[in-house]
Amino acid sequence: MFYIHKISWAKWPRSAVPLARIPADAVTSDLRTRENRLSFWRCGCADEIEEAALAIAAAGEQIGRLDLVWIEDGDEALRPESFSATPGKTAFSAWRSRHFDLLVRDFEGLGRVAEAVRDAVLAKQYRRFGRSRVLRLLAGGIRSGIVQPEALSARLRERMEAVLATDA
Amino acid sequence: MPSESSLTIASSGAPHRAEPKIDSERTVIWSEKRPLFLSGPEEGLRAHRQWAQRSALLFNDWLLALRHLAETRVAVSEEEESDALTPGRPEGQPLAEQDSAVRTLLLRLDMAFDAEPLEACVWHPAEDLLAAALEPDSSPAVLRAIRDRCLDADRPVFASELLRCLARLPAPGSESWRCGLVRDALSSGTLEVRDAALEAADAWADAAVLRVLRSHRDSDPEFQGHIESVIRDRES
Repeated sequence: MFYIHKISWAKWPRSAVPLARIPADAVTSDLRTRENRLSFWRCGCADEIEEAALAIAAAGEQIGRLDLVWIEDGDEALRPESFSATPGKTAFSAWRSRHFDLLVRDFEGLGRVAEAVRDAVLAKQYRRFGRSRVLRLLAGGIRSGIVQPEALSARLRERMEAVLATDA
Repeated sequence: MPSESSLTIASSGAPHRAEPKIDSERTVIWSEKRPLFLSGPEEGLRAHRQWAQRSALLFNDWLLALRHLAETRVAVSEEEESDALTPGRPEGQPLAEQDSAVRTLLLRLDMAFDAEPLEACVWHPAEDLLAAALEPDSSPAVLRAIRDRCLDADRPVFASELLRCLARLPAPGSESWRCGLVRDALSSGTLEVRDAALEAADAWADAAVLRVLRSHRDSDPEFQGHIESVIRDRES
């Protein structure tokens, strides 16, 4: 089982630096907590990462590039007792139950998550979905009915309507 | 710049228009949108007020001008400072309209990115600022200023976020402008800026931009792999 989180790949270090040398921007940008919580999506296996990308894209307001990192269940940073299931706000309804909030109580906890993301990036446990790939995933999801257009954000729905009208 | 005095800025109340007033205890400045109350030594406040009146024409908002003064100590020319401090000189003489528009845009972009980092697939206020400035037609001055900021080696995070935001517009500027920007940003020494250039290239996908990607050889093999992935994606 894996937990997937959205990051900006280029912000993370390219070598195995210690925690104290992880760039501050990487942490403050990609691990920005809200009410001491970080958003993750749970995957049963690595093959599901495309579905995770669709779920995250269908929760957004823009069609854009996505960098998704995955951390294995059992990592010290992801203690089971720290997870709470909170329905994901995505138009990919089947994946709403795959969303979890990780409670990050303090600086030490945040540091553990940062180390886990650093290690995952260095181990190439990430995947980049380019803009056109994200667009294809969304279009395919809408056409197949697994993504409900009415549940998309207004901006994204408008954009997808234009794309699908062009393709028709 | 006038010598710094203790400057307290507060704003409140409903929109109102009136002439500025100075009394013995505080200065009340009415902006176009809301009253601003300043307190401090009167002499310093008078100079600040005069500067802000001129700056308001640059920034089109007194509160914005005063915050900029307080927080960034913006580099005004000696002439502007002299104008602000010389009694009797006509106030409100505007700078060139283009310079004013560019400065306002850059300042507002600064503030937008400071307030909120750019997140993938999440709308950012800077998009609307850029769209308003660049669509349907963009002035050469604005394009030049945006390009310079995207290539500013002293502020790579702002540069990369600005470029990534530009990538959200369908076709800013001309094809040659986009191509030149991507080419030059790919030459940045900062990976974040180069990665932002790749995102822009993927979004715009002009034929000339894709040629730039094909001819680029990056020193980072992993990033080069991302470039080739975009090229394959576009060619498929």
